[in-house]
Amino acid sequence: MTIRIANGQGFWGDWSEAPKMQLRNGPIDYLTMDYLAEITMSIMQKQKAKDPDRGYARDFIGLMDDIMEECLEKDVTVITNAGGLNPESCQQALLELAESKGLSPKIGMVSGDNIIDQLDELEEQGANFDNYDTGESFDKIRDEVATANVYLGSPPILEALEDDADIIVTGRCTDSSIVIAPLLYEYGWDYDQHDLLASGMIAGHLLECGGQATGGNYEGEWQNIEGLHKLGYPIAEVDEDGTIVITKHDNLGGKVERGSVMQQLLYEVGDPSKYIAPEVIADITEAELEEVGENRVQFTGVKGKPPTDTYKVSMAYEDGYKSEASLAYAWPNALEKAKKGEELLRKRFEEMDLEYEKINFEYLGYNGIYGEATPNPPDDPPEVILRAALRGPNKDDINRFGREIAPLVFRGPACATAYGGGRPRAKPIIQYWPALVEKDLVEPNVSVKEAG
Amino acid sequence: VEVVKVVLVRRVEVAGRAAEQFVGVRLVLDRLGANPVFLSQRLEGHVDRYEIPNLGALNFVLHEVLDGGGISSLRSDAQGKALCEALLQIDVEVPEGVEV
Repeated sequence: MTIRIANGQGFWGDWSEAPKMQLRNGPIDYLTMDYLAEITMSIMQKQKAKDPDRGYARDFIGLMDDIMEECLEKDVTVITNAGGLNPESCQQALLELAESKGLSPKIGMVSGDNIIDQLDELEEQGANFDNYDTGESFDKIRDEVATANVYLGSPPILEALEDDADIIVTGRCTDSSIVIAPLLYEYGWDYDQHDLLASGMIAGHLLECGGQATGGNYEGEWQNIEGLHKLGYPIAEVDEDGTIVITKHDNLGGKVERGSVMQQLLYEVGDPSKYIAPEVIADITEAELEEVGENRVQFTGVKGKPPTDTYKVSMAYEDGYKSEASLAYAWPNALEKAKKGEELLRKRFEEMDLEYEKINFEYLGYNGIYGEATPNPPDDPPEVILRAALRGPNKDDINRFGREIAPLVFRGPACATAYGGGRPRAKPIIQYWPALVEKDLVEPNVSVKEAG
Repeated sequence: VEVVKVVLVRRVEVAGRAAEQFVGVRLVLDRLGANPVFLSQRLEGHVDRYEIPNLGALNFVLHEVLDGGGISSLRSDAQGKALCEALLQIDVEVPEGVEV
């Protein structure tokens, strides 16, 4: 027996066809989807503030409208963190959807990750939310915190699987937990089998960014990758002994090779001997990666050590505003015109007493991305986009910046064309604050309800 | 807060096939330590480097290289997606006797 776990979504807003293609182009046992990037929660928080029934990935309900019946027919279990900041409402919406279709799946829901209302209480119990990256005191952001979520692990998801859930939605949980849980469920692995848990965690990590493991965003020989327009998202075939094979459906595009899998393997990893999940600390330094067939890469030898006694907490807070604007200058002397445009703007901002913390100008098409290190920048580029961006504490000032850009078309160097739509507006900067919390202070909730 | 990952897949794969060839890869790291122009403009923190000879892979973690993080950065490449390509373009001097 080999369990086939597919990924159908790497972030909220990822390709909506991918999960359907995973379901319709070959056998899979589980369909997992990751909807939550670090910043996603604060967007959901705003939605929930406007409407208490929102605050989760509504796209997922639309997707299930398309494929719920098919998943049930094919006995494919769906696990996703689409619940976001409101997994209860997400579960309710799925129950209503199922009823409207005359279906009766069991919908599982995992919550308890959202600790925004318990921060004081948790601190009284000994939690310390200082920034674990920088060591900064929690006092700095205490009054500004907009969201605070624990990255839960696989145990509550496993519980929902044991209650025969067909579809499971969670709030914030680790990307790997939605893959580890089905492996524990299918193979009966225990939480003290650290090497196996570490293999499950790495399988989850290899899936979490969707098409990035199968030839998308690939630094290798990307010119030779065929069928990116119908890219097959990754599938992990995991054996009972923890052997992982990363593959994709044969009839879909993309490429699973050593390099594409390696790139995803190291993506967002710090120390490869200490990759921390709630279940285990994985070590990939002794692992072996091998091409074992066309579009099949096998990964073995992942080691695991007992986990830490803390969960990671992700907080978001508002920290000032930013805005950006671009103008395109046409040949001839496009670069010179762009530089004149910058000079003019800088003088204006000085005269306006514009308050800001930092401003940055770039000449896109000339050296915007690599700056001084740009190889062979042209003497007289055919066109240059002048891009200005600034940030600061004061919303009004950041908006005043936006009103100075379009007038440059008439009052600045010749041949500027407004680039991008509308007047740029100040957008809040949502900062990310990582912290830790003791596991025994957090209680996940699990609820499994049958539709109909 | 500001950590960006640079993964050297292709070059490492070429250069890291055998143990002695891994020496060739180490040269890339020394260049990075010497702060090439591209990074010197952006890098405000330090670089952690991890070697995974078993996989023929290197993993660099660049601290404080994103102008305050992907959300507050004022750059068009706010998340540092191009850092990787830049690093891959660094010329590596390969010592005699090392095949690449």
